[in-house]
Amino acid sequence: MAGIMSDEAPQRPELRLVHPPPKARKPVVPNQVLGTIIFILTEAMLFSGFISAYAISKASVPVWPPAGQPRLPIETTAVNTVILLLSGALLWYAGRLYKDRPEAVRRPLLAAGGLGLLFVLGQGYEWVQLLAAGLTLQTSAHAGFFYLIVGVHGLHVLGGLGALLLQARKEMAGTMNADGFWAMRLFWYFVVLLWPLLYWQVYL
Amino acid sequence: MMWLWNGTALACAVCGGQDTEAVRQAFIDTTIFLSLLPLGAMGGVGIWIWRRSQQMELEEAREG
Repeated sequence: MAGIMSDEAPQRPELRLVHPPPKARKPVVPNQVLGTIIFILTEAMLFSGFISAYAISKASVPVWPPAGQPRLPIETTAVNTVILLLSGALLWYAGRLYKDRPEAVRRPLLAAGGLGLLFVLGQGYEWVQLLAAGLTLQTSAHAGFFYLIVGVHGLHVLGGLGALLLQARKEMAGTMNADGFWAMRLFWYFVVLLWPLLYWQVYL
Repeated sequence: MMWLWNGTALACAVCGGQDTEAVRQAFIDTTIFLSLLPLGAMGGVGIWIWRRSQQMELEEAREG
């Protein structure tokens, strides 16, 4: 009776979880990576438009490139192409290393960035030489396409290089995350793999 | 560049040139290319995401 009239709060039975809480599921594709993929697809369409317009212009004239204009430096650009491909291969290697030995990523990452920078400098030097030789946007449709396509690709390389250097900085600070690194690698692979196609179309 | 200096950049694909078989073929080829590329790319990404999802489900089932 005393128990019934007591002011004490009734004891609640202890609650126990029978099942463990559900694990938070990893996203199938991280947001950064998915965003980069969508961006790459839009950029692929942009370059496809350029290449298509180039192909039609090429088919419209009997002689391509037009006679009498400075010749594009096929050989030095071939070397530059190899440099960019090597940069992509090094980044791919860095990505492989990141899974097992993240501390070993720095060297191939910086080397890939260095080769990317070398490519941009090589292309810049080529442009200076061509402009000095008198090849400008106004020289011909071929020259216009050359500066447009190679220039837009160069801007993409610079953007990719910025992302690469940002990741390198994060790696040095110990704040690099797998998703950001993956997204950056994807963009760099796009820029690297696109170039041989552009080289084949524009230079050869 | 094309937007700013479109008068000087002689790179318009449809403004001149000859109306030949080569041009007709180039238009057909590029139309096919530009039509199939987005479909292929979106399809490829979709298949990749689906396969990745399946693989992750399998791994989760294995881990229990």
